[in-house]
Amino acid sequence: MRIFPAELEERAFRHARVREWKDAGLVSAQTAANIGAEIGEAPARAAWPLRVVLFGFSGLCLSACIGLFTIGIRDRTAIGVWCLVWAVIAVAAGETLIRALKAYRQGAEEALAAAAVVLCAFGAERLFGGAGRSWDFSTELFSFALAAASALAYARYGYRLAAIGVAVGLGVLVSSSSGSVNAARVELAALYAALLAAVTFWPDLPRRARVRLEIARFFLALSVPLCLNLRLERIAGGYAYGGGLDAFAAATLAAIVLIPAAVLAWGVSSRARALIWAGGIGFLIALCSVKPYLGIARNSWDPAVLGAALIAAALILKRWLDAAPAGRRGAYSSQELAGDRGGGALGLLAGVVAAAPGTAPSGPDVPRGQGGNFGGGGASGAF
Amino acid sequence: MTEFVASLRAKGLLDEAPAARLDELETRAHVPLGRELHALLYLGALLVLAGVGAAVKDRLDQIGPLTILAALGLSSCAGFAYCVRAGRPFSPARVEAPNVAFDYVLYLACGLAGIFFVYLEWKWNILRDWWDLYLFFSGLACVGLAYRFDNRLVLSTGLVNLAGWIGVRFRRWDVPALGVRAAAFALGAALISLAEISRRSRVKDHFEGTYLRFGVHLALMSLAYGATRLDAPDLWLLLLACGALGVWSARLRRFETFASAVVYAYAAALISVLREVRGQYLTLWAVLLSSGCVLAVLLWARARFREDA
Repeated sequence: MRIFPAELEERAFRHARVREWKDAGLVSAQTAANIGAEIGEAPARAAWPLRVVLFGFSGLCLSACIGLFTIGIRDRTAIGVWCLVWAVIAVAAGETLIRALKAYRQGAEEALAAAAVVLCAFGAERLFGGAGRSWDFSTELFSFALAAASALAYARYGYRLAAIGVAVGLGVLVSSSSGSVNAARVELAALYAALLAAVTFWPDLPRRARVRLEIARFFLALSVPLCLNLRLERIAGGYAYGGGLDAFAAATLAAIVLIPAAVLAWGVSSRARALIWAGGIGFLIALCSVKPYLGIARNSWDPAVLGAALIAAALILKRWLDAAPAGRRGAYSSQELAGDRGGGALGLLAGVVAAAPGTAPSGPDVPRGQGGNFGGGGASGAF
Repeated sequence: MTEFVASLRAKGLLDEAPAARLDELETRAHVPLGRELHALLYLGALLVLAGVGAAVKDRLDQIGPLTILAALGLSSCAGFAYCVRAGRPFSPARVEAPNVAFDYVLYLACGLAGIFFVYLEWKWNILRDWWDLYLFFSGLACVGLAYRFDNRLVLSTGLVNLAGWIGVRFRRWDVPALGVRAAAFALGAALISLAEISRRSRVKDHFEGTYLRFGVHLALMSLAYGATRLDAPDLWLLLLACGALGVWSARLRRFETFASAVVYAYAAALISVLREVRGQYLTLWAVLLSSGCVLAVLLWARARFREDA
């Protein structure tokens, strides 16, 4: 089934490990080059900026091609057939690229595979949905086809994006077929928990596949408490749970605190960074949700208190780790590897946050009589 | 020991100590948490600054001005004093921070000083129409502190402040030849030059990436803003600038800069062409042919950049 031979995937995995070692300063450039020569020819892969750009432009090219052939067609069946035809063309083009150019992760062939998945789902919906059937049926059909096509794409190419497509497709399918919003939340959380367990405990997965699926584990572990959080929609301006702190809300409040804590504990005990990050971020989101859950007004200084708590937690954790013999508590240490410090986009965000208070002060005109501030005899500013 | 590391050790490609260290990391017998500690400190510092800024803005009437100024001034001074006392001497090369929190203390001190001056101006309008000088001088101060203490977060803060000053001051002057876009382009070009100077002089050459990223986007965005028609000189200036940047980055093997130049040129050219094109078929052909050309250019660059792309 898999288009890439196991030997090529293992070679690519080993080259990726060596690149990581070099970036982390664990081996010199010369040693990395020697190891690379020993591993064998590196499969043709692109660094992620080029992959993203090639992905985008390939998608644009394919969309324009499809547009040229389907423009003016209004019939659902004809559109569905064209979508399936183009899905086959996209798969054929992608596999030709992989075989002819020996492309492994180049962006262009990934875009073609992703487009084929979406076209399959859309084509299935056009062919078998509509014609008097309900919107929910169309959504279920689309999401089922999306999940199935993504699963096939993962089995064939092993792309992480395809694994995420499976989770998204199944999630939409479950939420659209649920009887109520609250039932959908619980079913979604159960689905993502089941998928997390499947990804974690799937037997006989090679190590390279487990490493590749770490990102899927992160998103699944993070999604479980997010699905149960009743206060997130308010941020997005969508549906807002209006039941106050009733039994369901209290149960979800307990769940969104306890599940990330359990994921964090699981990550620490299994030494899995993906789970540690998912648990940590989930716990932070839970902390931010407690006040809205309890109906307590937020204060403007809340972020500062949380920030100070995070800084204190980091410093305490570092001291605790450093105080252990040889600076290690079990497997954990506070050691830094090269590249651990944020730069690039993180630096830009930091710059914007620090500079934001410096823009456009629009204060009171002088003098405005601010009570005692301007010799107003102690009267209030409203006087 | 993992099979891979063991085979490298057996073939003599790794010495015993590095092999043992790699094996510990690969088997998760050792999990270094440096990245997680930095993430906590980084997020904490961002939240503290955002929260202090919001609290000062929202609670002005409840907290007295002197209390606010004293709290901000003292905490900022304490941060700077700590950095001066604990910081390592200046060196043109990369200087490691004395401890994990050092960079974030300096960043917080700069941010709190910024809030201090904003509040001062808000309350008493000291500089009035010239309030943007705070941005200018704080930008310069941040860049100076970034060099003194080798801190890229503070360097980014300084560059954002300087860009903000350009935006405010040149809009207010409203002189056509000195418009905001011309000034932003000049600042972008200056930052690209600073990146080149950093690389050549080897004075803080690890700042090159920060200068280059800011400079490229600032310069190209300032040109792209008006490049929406085929008869607009901005479009041709943008294409010229993108071409020059593309050649320069290809020679230095800076793929990120090359890709930025290609994407800006493509977006501006396509928007301008689509304004002239009538009909869906022609539009789709324009998109198809142009994106095909870009794909060809990128694949050519991929072959040229090799490891870097």
